[in-house]
Amino acid sequence: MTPASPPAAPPTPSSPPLVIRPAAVWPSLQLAEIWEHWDLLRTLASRDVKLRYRQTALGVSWVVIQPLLAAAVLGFVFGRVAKVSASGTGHFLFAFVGFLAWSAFTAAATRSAPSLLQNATLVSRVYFPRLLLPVAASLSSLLDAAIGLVVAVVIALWTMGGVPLTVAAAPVFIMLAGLLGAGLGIAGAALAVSYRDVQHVLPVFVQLTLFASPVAYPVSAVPAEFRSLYLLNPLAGLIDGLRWSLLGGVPGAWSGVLYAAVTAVACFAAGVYCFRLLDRGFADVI
Amino acid sequence: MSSDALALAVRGVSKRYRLKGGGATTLGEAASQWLRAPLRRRRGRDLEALADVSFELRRGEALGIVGRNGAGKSTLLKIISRVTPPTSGEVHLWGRVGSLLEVETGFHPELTGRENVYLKGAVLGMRRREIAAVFDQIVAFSGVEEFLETPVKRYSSGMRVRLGFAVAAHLRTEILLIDEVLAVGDLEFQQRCLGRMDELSRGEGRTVIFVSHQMRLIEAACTRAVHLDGGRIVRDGPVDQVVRHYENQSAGRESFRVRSDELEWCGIRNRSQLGRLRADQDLDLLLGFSTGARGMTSLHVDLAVKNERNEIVVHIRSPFVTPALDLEPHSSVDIRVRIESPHLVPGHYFLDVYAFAPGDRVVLWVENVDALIVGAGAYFGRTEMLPAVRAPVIPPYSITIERSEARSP
Repeated sequence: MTPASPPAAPPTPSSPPLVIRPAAVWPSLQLAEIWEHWDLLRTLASRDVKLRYRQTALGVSWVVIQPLLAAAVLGFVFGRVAKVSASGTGHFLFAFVGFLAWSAFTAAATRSAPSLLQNATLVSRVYFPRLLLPVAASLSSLLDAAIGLVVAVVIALWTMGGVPLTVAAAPVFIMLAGLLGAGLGIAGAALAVSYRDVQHVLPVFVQLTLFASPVAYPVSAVPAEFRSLYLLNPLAGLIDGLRWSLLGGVPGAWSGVLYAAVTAVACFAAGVYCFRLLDRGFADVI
Repeated sequence: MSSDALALAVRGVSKRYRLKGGGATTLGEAASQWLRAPLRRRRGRDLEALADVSFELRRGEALGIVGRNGAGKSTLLKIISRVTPPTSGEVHLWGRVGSLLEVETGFHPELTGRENVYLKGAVLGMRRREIAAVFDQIVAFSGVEEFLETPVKRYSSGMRVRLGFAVAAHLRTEILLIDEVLAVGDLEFQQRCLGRMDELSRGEGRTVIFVSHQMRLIEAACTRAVHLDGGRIVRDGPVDQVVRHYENQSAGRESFRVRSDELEWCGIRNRSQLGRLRADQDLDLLLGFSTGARGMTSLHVDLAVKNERNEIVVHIRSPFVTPALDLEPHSSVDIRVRIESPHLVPGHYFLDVYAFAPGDRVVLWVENVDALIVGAGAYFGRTEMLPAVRAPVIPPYSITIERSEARSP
């Protein structure tokens, strides 16, 4: 027999009880829950990272290989075939940086959206803040983006001989792109519990933003009469901002960058609120 | 620390589920429904899984929950563990709740045993430090030391169950919910789990809620029980009383296969003394009969003792044991059947009584008479398990069937 583990700390009789009540009609965001369960969040995120590269021959190096391949193809298609100007920098680096911001958004959205369904048994049998599942999935995708950012800096140092000081702002743009994607993915995860359609719609929508965003072409290549409509896509401002921070030069429009930042935060908040509205029914419906 | 402090209070908890009917499963359906009638509430029948359930539990108490499938046992545990919110009512908890709703929950097949211990522990609400502190105990309890670095998908199902229980059983939570987990795993492991539960509730003052269909396990592990039926508490009290009540209610009903006015069945006269026998006690049954206008000559009474699964464990053919009995007309007669220490396995037993006159003419055949309960104490109360009983033991026991002299009123 194993030795008895130390007894649990006795709750003091005066300590207030935890009260379980019927779900509120209008819930609050309860973002503090994320920090309170930091340990679990970290464990779930590291599980996602470990699982992604388990039983792969190349392991974590896929994090670097994927964006390099994508940038090579995009740079070639837009630079050589479609002959779009890359505003001074090489096509490859230009596309790489664009792809970096775009994939921070995409990965956060597509990995967090199926997270509840993938963990259906957990959701229906154990209590923990369910919001942690899509948040952990988004967080694990941010690791890829961070490595991509390092690679981008290395390429810039190598091809341009240096990076501007504004590089310090680059992580902010990556995080905003991740926040935008996470907002979408968190709402998607909540909706997918009842409506499996989300699994089919979201990936397609996200893929299409590759062409609707200035990943491989500059904003200046968009005809002027469509530009204000085009800039409604918050990814345009975020990609622009990331390029400015890494490669220098002037972003297409500062107002666009500001708008994108506000939209990303708002999208995240909206996604979490949508999640909260549906949270109460997850265990019964999933 | 006062031992009678409340650990948990369930106050008027109800849970209703909307059954399929009005619900939409695709966005298209939902949108078209909404467009047709934007403000109407969706139709659909409600199912009341729990109706106004209230009870309180003190620290260190071990509560068993019994009831048929669909009685609301699992729903109640889900509400207490916060997996699903109640429709109305409140639950007050003094302390953290750990749940063991299904032992393998929280494991990921691709991760190693070590990684899964941390993952599952975190999912169940432990911090990394806390898991690290009991890691060695968990591993020792589960007995999978050699396979810690092997992905769990390569584990045998027994190893997964052991590791899963080990993590949950070492949670440092004040309230532990256990749902039908001991059905898996071998006898030796079941025994270890029971020992651990005992340690938790009696030794460490944790509060345990235990759901199982195995009444003997409930009796061994709990001091108090609640009987749920149709989402309501129908009985709450000491474990043996509640279990007995539940078993009486759910047992196959006493019924007659053959009935005649020559001999009437009057029940087991000493049923009240058969409620809680020890495994080594003699079995002493007083069977009541009354005769009709003609009386009976050369009567034989056969007896089958059956367990909860309707298997016959003792069968007595009276012609082999005793001469035939003659009974006067219009009389009440008790026939005493005595089996010396039959060593029955703990459980609930039923009788089939079969009476026949010369020429094998059946005059009475009654089935599923609720007869006796052999308590679990002698079996599960100790740390070591008695050798598993795989077949009814046939010790050289002596059987007597006789007309009883002492007539109970």
